[in-house]
Amino acid sequence: MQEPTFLILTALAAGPQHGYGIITDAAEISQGRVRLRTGTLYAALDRLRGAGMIEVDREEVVDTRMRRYYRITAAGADALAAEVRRMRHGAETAARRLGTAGGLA
Amino acid sequence: MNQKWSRRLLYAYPRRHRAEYGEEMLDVLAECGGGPRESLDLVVSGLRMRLGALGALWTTPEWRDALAVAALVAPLLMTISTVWFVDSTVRALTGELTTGPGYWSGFAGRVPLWTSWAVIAAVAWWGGVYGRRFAAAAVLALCVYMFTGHTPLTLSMYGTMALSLVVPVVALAGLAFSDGPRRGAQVLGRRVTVPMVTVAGLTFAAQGLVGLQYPLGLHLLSGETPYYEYAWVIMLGVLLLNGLRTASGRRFGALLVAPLLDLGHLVAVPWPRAAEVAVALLLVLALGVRSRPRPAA
Repeated sequence: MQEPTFLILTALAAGPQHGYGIITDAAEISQGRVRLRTGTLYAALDRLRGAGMIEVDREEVVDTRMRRYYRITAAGADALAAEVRRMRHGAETAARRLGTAGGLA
Repeated sequence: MNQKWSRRLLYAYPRRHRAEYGEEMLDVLAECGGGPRESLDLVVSGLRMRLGALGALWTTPEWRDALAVAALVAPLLMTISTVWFVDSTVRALTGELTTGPGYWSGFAGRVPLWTSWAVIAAVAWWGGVYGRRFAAAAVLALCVYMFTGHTPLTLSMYGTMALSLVVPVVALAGLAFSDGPRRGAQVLGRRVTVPMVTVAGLTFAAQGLVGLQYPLGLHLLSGETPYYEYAWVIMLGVLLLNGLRTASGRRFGALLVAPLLDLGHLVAVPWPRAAEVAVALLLVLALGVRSRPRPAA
């Protein structure tokens, strides 16, 4: 799973969000390391919608503008859970081999 | 980033994407504040999306099969050219063919280029996946070699420009993006493959052994080379026997007739070529329109 996809799914795992909300949340999740750009975000949202991992939750009118909220689907949650297991296994293996299991020095 | 500029950048995206997300993206861009990196990301993402859509088109089973047929027929056509060029060179060497100044540096000097086609066709047929990759790489190298001016455009005067440069491109697409010439033979079936290969074999025999270079006499009408004449016979044969009957055949037809739109040669020989180009254009349009996927019900 690519990092933008992981960050978007993680952002939506907390609840439905609109585009700009996802960008700010993704920056927070990555501790400011990743700043999703608009083009990258909407290419990923389109792909994730096509794959059935997210869907439109609702649309709201804010300042005469339509704002669309997205939510994660069961398939998206499953994919994210699988990615979390994979990352955890990788991290635990790395920590074990470094001899720092139970807390990094 | 002002909204007018952002709206212009959105044209990098396919129409469907703009209709679905355009206004939403403009809102997010306004909140983000824009900047050159946002602009660059917009354009790059849009172009990637367009390229992705183009790639998806070629991955449909009909196009894959059409490209497999191209991987069979295009190298075969080019192999015929091998025989013709070698034959002409032998005739020139024995004095049977009168040659003008510059013949050896130009026309016959390209014999190594043409003879490589026989090797490429054989490797693509017998070499499996790795053979196809090797063949595709070799064709790419030949295309670059020709495109960079080693085969001068004046070759178009002899009617071979379209088939000398564009057919290799079709062959390259077939070898790189299909399941190979064997699959092409399966798609065509024995009813088409056997006559096609027979015509190719007869071409070798007629040119190499008997010395019959103009079996149909078409050169009297258009001044074409015999190679061009044989190519027409084979392509039209494949189209008539298979192309108008199946979806993949029609797509193959559009692929292989397109090279005949040789505008460079149209300038050199206006009248007979105008008729040929018109026929080819009609065929491409007819086949292309019929090749469009049906809208979902």
